[in-house]
Amino acid sequence: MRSCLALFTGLAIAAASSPATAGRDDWRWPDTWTASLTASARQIASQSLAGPSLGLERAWGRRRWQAFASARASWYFIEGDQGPAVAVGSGVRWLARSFVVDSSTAMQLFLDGAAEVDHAIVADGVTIPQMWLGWGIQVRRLDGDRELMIRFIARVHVGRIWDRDRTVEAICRGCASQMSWPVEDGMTGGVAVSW
Amino acid sequence: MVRRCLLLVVAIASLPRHADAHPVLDIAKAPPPPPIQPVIAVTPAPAPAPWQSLGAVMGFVDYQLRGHDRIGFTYGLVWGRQLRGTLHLFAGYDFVLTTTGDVEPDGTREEIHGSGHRLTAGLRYAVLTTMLGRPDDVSGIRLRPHVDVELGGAGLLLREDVLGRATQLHGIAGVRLGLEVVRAATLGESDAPPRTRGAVDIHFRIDAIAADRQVGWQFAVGVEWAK
Repeated sequence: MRSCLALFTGLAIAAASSPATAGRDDWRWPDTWTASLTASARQIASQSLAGPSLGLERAWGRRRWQAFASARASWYFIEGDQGPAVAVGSGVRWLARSFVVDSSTAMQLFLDGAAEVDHAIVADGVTIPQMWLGWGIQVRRLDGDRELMIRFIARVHVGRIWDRDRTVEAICRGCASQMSWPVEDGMTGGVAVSW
Repeated sequence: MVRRCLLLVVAIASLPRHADAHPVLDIAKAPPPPPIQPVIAVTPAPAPAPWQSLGAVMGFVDYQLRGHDRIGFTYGLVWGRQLRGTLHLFAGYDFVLTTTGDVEPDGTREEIHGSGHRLTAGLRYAVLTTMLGRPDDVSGIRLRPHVDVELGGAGLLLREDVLGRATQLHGIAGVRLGLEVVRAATLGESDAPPRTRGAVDIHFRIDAIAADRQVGWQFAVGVEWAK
């Protein structure tokens, strides 16, 4: 009986004192909800379409991979016009690097990518099916009842406008001769909280 | 009988005594062989894998494009690999967002809407570095401040509303100041499990950019994970 107690006590002390390994596995994505605040800027018809966005994402983790579906509401500004926009999409995220700072915190690098459709109610309506590739840094809490991650994200968009000629004419008003570029690219940066 | 015995003894005594003739006698006189030592197979420790890193950088750049001043922001990824000692190869991708152009007659800067992509590659070499902290520190972490010089080149593909589409090659030379936070286990100073190994390098870069016979500059801050 005493030896069992001693063994149990020893195991408990070992489990409590081993750093990093005692918490969650930092190399495994959990299922998460994410709220984000981002700002994006992209080029359409030599004009800048830019504005802030609020996003919500649901993600499902499997080892170093996470699949997600997201929705975003934005307010875009473009030459002489402004209006709301919505976007929906889905993609995958890969945990590229992890550094365990101490038993409760990890600093991580991830890469992600998605396909989405963005529709802005500016310039008589602009719909942009697009893909984006991104990367980000997150500080991840490993202990506690629930995971918490604070992310700094960056995304590069590449897309093409539906009904491009009409959109370019509406936005550009005479500068269509400069439009030799086949795609519209842009950038998004922001912060997000994931739990 | 006694004479015959004496002759026999004399004859035996007069026989030659070199080793070839009497190997058995010589072996008997030789010193005992040294004891056989047990052979311990020593396997050389495997060489540590070359330092390899991946990280994110952001900064801003001021450069010349077809004789026009351009200022923009850069966001990117950078990958590095140790070649030898403190010599590293690096390669990176940046998204470049151009926002500002030439100075107008009224003193303000021309507003530019432009964006593009840049690929960079080069070498960096640590000229000053040291390791701080004790191997047996309870945190299991050591710090390595370093000053690197770097030399490389980049290719830029850009689109903007004033100059249209443009490509440019430029050379890069600069200095990188960094602080590497290293798990002691990574240095072979403890036998901690793999997940508590690795390093994070936080750095600042200041580079001169040579293009179109003019010099610009860029500033960037980055974080790289090494393993």
